[in-house]
Amino acid sequence: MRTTITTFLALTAGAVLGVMASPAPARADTIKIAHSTWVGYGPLYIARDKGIFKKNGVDVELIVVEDPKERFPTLMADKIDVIASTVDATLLYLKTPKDFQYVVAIDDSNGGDGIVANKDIKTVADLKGKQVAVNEGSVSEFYLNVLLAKAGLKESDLKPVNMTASDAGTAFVSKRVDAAVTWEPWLSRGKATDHGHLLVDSSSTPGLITDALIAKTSWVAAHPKDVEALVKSWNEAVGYYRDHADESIEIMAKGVGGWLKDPKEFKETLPGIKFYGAADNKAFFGTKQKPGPLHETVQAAIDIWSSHGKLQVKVTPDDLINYTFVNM
Amino acid sequence: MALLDAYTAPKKKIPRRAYLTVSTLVALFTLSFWCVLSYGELVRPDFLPTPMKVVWAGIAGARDGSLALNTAVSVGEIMSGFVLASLLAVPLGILMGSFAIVEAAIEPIANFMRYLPVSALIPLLILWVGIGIEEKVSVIFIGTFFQQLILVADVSRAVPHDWLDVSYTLGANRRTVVRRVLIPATMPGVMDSLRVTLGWAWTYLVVAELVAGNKGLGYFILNSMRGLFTDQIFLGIMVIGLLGLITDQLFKTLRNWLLPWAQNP
Repeated sequence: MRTTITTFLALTAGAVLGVMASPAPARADTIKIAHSTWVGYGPLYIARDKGIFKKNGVDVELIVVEDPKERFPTLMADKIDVIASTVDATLLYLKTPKDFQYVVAIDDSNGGDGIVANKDIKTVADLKGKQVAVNEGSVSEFYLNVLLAKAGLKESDLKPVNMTASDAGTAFVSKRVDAAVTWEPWLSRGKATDHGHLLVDSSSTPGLITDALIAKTSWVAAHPKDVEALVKSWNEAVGYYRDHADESIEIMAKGVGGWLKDPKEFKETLPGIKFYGAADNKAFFGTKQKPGPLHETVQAAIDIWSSHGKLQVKVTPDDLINYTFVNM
Repeated sequence: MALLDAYTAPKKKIPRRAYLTVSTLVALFTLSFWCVLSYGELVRPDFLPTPMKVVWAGIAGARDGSLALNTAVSVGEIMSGFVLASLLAVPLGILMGSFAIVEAAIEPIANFMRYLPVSALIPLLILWVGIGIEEKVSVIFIGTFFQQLILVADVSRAVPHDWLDVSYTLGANRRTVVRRVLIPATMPGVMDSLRVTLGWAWTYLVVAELVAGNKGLGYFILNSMRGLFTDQIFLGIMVIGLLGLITDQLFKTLRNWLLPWAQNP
């Protein structure tokens, strides 16, 4: 019994000390990248399995962390070096304006996200006064707000019902709500019901729902060579996919796994997104003097989240966009 | 030394004053540990809020009324689910523990159901039940009902056989034995099971408010996770903890009041 108690105390003390003293490693021996199960992140596995990371001199470990609510804390606590996430989500976690940076854009939603609605809702403006399932604080809410602003509406003009994107799809299919902001496979399922149709999808708003690789600004400053190699590897992996589509789909499906582990399923989901390769990234980021569409997307997210009172600091797009690496 | 010896004898009462002193000291120690970690900045401020920041978050919530509203909504959901589950589980459980035929009918399915992760059932609940308060109550119900059933059945099973035999010997019939001996004998254990499972009901709160939540403490905590507002997460947890402490005490009082013959030792 004595030993058990002593061990317990030692473990507790160890855990506490561990929390207290976890400084950022000076040099990341293995770069840890966290992402969720999504087609857009597939080329990371091409870069890993085809030895592109290794060739460029970085050792990378890919880790699945599904929810951005958990992905960002892992980054903030230095448990993870780089995360893949949507551009808009990053803003919510800023405690100071220069906490994080986008170093490279990885994919753009091209119909993979959208809104399914009852057939009598013909335009976004018709959503007024309707029950709309949308995940509060997520990319879905950001997307909905951009569309509403274009139609001259605000979120408060609707009856938003908060739930995750896949629960929103479920709720729409079972007629619990009038419309749902969701993503594939729920867009197809919502469309296939008797009462529903696809109101709008992300192919009409390129550059808006975009994933990027995100790291702490301090980490980027301390590891410029690593970041350069990462960005280079990403662009090369996308190039490899474009040249060897079938082989790449096999690799990506196996790597990403989860509900996308079947190459057929992966291939069917692919048209919903577009990968950003080297040239796309140059155009999307632009330069500090002549910023590309990314600047506008970040500004839109800043405007929407600050009008919702969700930003903790005052920030401008240039606080977050690192133009260096994509233009190397 | 003699004092320590007296206070560490198993299953022996200690003076009430000593009891309260120990409780207070441990609570104070925990609080000061938190103060040292947070005010001493041994843990990064955005990972561990200071006690005062949590108090301020509480004051802000009290001022705009959101804290009271969230608490009221959650208490409503928890109590609806819990009362509904208890009303069914207590009689069924008593029958299950004492009538082999009922046990045969219910136990396998109850044991199957009580291992299911409620969060995995959410899409099905949306399809079958909906997205309003009925969905939240269903989550709490499923989370507690099957556990209660098994606990109450065990209580009922533990009623000594001798007591029933003595009653039969004294001329009681089956009906009387169940009404006057079996059911009263299970009551203290039933109350304890309910007290424990009410705690479990609270642990399902965040899961329950995942869907169509825009009020409630679970929603409040979830929403504070986006943006990592640790002071608000702490506030939500503290309020739930305090409510737990209060309901636990209420249950103990209620038990002593309703079942004076079976006072807690």
